[in-house]
Amino acid sequence: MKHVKYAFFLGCLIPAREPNYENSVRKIAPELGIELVEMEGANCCAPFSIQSLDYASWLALAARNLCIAEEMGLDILTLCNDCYESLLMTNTILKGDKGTRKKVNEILADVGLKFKGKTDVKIFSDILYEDVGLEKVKTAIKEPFNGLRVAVQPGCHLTKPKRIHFGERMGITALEELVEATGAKSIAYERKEACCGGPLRGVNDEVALYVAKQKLDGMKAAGVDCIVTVCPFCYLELDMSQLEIKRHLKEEYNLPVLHFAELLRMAMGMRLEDWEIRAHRISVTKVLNMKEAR
Amino acid sequence: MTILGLRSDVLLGPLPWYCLSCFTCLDRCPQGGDVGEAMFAIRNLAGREGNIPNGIVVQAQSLFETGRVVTPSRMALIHREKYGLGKEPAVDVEAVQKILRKTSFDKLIYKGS
Repeated sequence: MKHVKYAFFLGCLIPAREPNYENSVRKIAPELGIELVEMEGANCCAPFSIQSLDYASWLALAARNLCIAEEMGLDILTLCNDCYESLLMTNTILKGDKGTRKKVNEILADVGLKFKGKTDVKIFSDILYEDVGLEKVKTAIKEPFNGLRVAVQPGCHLTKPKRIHFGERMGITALEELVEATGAKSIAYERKEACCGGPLRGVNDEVALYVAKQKLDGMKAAGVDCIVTVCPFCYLELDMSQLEIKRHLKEEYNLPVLHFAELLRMAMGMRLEDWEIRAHRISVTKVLNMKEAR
Repeated sequence: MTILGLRSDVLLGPLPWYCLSCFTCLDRCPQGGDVGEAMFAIRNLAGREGNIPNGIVVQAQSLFETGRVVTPSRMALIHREKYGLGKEPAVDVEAVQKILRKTSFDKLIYKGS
């Protein structure tokens, strides 16, 4: 099997709130020939909320992470749509714009770093699709989810904005084909490419919930069994908002939200541990039972 | 609106912060207008007027103090230790603070507090 090696950028949200996501990735990556090398001292990616406050701080903090990967001589593997967007956007800007690069390097000189433009940034699902390949992933499937109806939630920053995602990056198509490689079926639903509403948390929770509800309505109307996402923010928003909608609006969806890495891990024949099953606010036992019934 | 003189109407209200930064507008604009970038510029200006939603101030202060916008919950720490994931990867907070002092980020987010 082809062996690939990446600088592993974990970000903030996953290790802090969703260690079940991290655990699944650490379990499946070696099985698929992906070596994850820890990034010593890396900081927050500096997501778009920080870009909204101060452009220079955002660029410099994201660039610091890129410099760490450059020193490791590796490309970056991210697990989070927002880390992906921030690091890829910064990398694209600094590679293309000498003036901005000079200004950022003046800031980075204080911490002994210099952006050279020698690393690339990729997201886990694209790496599975491009480096590992769909056929290899299919041969690793031991216990397929035949007939499971999945609403894929790609999340905005898997593919947007287009100008930082180049030709070979398949994004949503890749994710859907990977989901189908596990035996599940990716179901079309309204507003698939729309935002989950998460970015409005802490700004206007009521509107955030309304945006999430629109997505959930589309998924429910399509008659899916569960939601599968690669983005930890979408995961949190769609899982949590179902509880809030139930409490405030007395509407129930009961749509379990799974990380794609968890779906793949189970299809590869590795069970989720009890603490990982309990980490989901909307019970995933429905999905687990469907698998065992076959 | 800002250029037309309605500066305070734009910068002091909640509207700049209602943008989801989903970049749908940017991908869809037939003229290739970078609406997303314009929104970032407007929010940078709004922030300098002291107009920053509380949720974002909390994230920014956490970033300055810990190098992360989100820090681990007690439950996550217990799970990490108990199930073999170990401690959270360490951040070089000193480097983060050096960068953020140089860009005066600290003055922006601790203003008035």
